[in-house]
Amino acid sequence: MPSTTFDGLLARKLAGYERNVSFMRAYQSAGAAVWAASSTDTFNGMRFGTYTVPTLEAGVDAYVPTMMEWNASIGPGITFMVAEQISLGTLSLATPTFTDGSSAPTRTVGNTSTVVPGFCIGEVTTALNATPGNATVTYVDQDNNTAETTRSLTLGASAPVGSFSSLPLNSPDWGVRDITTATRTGGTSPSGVIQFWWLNPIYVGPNATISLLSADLLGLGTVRRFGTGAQLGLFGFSTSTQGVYGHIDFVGDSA
Amino acid sequence: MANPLRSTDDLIANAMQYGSLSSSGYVYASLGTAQTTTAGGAVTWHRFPQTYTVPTPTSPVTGWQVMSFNMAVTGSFGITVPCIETVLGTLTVSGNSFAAGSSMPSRAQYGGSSQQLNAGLVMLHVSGSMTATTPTITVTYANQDNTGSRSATVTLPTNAQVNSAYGWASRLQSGDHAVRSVSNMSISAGTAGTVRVLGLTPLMYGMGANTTTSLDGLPLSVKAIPAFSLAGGETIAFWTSSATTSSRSSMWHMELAPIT
Repeated sequence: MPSTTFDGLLARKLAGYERNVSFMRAYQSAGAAVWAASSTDTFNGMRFGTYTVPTLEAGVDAYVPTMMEWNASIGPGITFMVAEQISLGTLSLATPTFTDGSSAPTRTVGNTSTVVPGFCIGEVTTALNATPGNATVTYVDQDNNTAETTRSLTLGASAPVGSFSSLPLNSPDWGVRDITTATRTGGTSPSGVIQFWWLNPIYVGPNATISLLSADLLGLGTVRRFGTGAQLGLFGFSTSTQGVYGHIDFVGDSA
Repeated sequence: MANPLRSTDDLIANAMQYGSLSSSGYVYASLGTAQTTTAGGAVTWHRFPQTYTVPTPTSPVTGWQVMSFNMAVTGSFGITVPCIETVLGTLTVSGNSFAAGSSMPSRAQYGGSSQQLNAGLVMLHVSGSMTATTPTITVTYANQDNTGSRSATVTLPTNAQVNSAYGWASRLQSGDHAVRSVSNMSISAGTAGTVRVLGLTPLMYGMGANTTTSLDGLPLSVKAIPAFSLAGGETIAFWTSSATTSSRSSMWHMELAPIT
């Protein structure tokens, strides 16, 4: 059965069921935000990198993140986030074409099986051209209300791969279960691809440029199990040139 | 006996067996114009209009313990507070009409008896955009000892915007540090809008630093456990302070551990 004590997790670690994932100097160049006209109603930033949980070793049922340490060049006061990510779909601007992805997962929460809404971003996966036009996104909100449509979002000129913006939602929405469609209007020979992500952080916190920061994830109440193929994204909430290095420690838990 | 979360082991056991509540989302407070206070003592705040309803767990889980909370806020110096709100009173500017709200609630804490909470963080919240030129609002309240007929005055900026709020704890009468109920509100001038007195019961405080700030919910290991647990159906509201108040957005992330 899964470890139910700190000592149990420690015993697994000492037995060799551990994984130390370094993200050494993951780096992004400065670039435009995905939603160029965004001001106070979106967050903009850059992805540092992605970690995909590999095929589990024999005797391991899931990996449990226990702690992380990091140092970043983007400065104190700028948010650093590590989050589980699930693709909700992609928008290719040229046609435009929306290709549907997954939706928010169903998890056991408080002994109840329920859909877990998430924080949603759009991320550039193929660089945008100089005049990409505008986008509107249709989403399902946290309460399963469908056909919620965002305002027209001005796409960032030449936004580079890895830049992201949070999806501005209609009030009183705070979360997203799914993206059902997205489209692009206007622009001049628009090109590029935007991928929409459901995010569920394991950590959101500050950065430091001159000292190391650390997070005791278990102490923060983050008790999460990740299986093969689960993806963790590393994000900095700044569109300036930025880099980060550090590591996340996992314990390989048993079934 | 089950695990009422007395240790890190209880936390891990409950989370592994029943599933913890890891949630994140987006909130946005739109203000037409930046707000500043016009009288010393009041601190400008945002109240984000989006709220989070705590999901109801299934037995044997009876509630949730807040373990950590983090918010990133665009363009803000200050603090961020997720909290339980109590509407203590509402003033409708037109007609200078007051409607009574609730008194601060009583809550049981682990190992202790039920006690009425104090609102040490007490706000004037603009819930309907105002048409009023530097109005002075007078609030009659009961203090932390339930002594009534206490009085405080706060001057708001001209035409205060919906979603803006003003902390006025420093305007309480000498010797008072909290509010338990409000018996009257009145305004010196104005023709439109509504203002509420909200008593906040903070779950945690976070610190802001810079543009696109990170507010670090501190870990259980270095911060006192929040005063009480949460039950399914309770509503969490999100607040942030700032020197001047213009539109703000925030993303939040919280970890709640199941209690049995």
